[in-house]
Amino acid sequence: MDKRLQKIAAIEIVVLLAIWQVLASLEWIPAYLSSPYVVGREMWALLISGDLFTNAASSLYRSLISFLLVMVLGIVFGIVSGFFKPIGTFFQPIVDVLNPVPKIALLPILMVWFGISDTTRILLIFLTAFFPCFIATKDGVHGVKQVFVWAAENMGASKLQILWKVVLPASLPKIFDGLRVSLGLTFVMMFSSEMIGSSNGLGLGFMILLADMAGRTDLMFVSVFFIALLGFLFDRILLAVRARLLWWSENRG
Amino acid sequence: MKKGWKWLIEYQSLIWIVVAWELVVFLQIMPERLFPSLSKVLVVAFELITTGMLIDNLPITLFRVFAGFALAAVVGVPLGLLMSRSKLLNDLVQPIFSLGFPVPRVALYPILVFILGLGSASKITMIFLECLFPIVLNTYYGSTRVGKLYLWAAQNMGANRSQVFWRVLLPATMPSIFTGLKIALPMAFIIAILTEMIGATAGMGYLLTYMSASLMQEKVLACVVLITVVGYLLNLLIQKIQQKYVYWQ
Repeated sequence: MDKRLQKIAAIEIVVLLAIWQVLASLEWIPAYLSSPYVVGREMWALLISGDLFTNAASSLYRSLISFLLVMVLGIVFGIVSGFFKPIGTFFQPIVDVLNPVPKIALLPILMVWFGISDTTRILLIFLTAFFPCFIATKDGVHGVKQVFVWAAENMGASKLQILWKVVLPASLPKIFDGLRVSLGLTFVMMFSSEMIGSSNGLGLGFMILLADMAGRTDLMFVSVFFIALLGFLFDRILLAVRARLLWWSENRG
Repeated sequence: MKKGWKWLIEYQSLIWIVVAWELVVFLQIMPERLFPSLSKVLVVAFELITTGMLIDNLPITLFRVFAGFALAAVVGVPLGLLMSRSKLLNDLVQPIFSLGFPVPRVALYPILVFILGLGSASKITMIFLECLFPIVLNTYYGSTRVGKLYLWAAQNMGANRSQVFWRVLLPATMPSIFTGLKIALPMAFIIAILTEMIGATAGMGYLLTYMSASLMQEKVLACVVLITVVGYLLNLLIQKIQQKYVYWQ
């Protein structure tokens, strides 16, 4: 997004907030839709008391641990099963069957096995976010030019060196495409795993659940805004890392 | 016979998983209440079908999935195409999609429930919102990448605007549109299950939470199996449609 579009985006957000505020102050929309002023005030109060940070921190802890697991396991498994064909074909049917399953359906089962705990949530987020990363990595490895691999072999590189120095960098652009989808999913599942199964503890999704039960839509808007903000920020961070690592690649995020 | 053998080898990993699962049950490594055998799960799944539980809930979920998905396609495809044609529209809409894309939009669902209630309306709106993004973005990028040469050639040969659009631009964008639709349909199904699990009185997601309240793992697993089959079939459906209409790819 270039500078001009950023400016338009900023204007659009301000206009939307203004319309919302005007509608709310004229009481043309029902009171439960709150208003930007009230939401802002509540957000400030929560920021001062630090509640927002503790909730956001425990949500982030879950989603970032899962994302780290996805990154490591997804890329390693993706490269191994993309490079060594027999391993790839062995696991392919499992991936085909598990990929389209809405992983959230596994929540009741995981809850019975591991309890209503962080383990369950991290596992659920991991299961959802793993497949896009794995599939993109595998695709990326398949797209690596055979000539590169042959050249490395000719120059006497070992299998490990080929994987680390040739295959991994060459498939990085694809890997980042997959990681971006995975990152988005970790935030979706972070919210869902906290909403469903009456969790108790800390978390932004739990904040929404509590506010919902109390009928406090203003607090719901605060948490929704914060989840959106976190999702947006981490996407930007990923794109920045990508731009730094892939300076040689033509299509930068 | 040889074909069957080849098939077995290709799908051996699934068979190994089933064998491992049954071994865990047989050796009673996990208590059976928590880890029921797969044959039992299949029997329960079959019971769910014959007792009409599936017929009561599946059509409701599918209706929500297809309503939201169809709305998103009907709005998203023209919007994406127009964005690539009109600079003004692109300037207005592009920032919203760029900002909204990385945001977890499901978080809005509880607020949608406040506005639209717990029924189908809030769920269809959520599915629509979630599907709109991949459809619009893929259509837009697809149609901006249509080779200028095709458009020039068509114009040179005297095609008017609507002919260029229907005969050249739309078919050339078709593969990208289907890429978007292929991302959106499984997404629609996931959101349907998710929103039904958060709160509903009917649907597959509701059936799942209802069964999990019984604390009988074989019933929950049977639901998961049925949901998996439906998800797999939906995937297959969109692939078949793509093969039929984008046969030149």
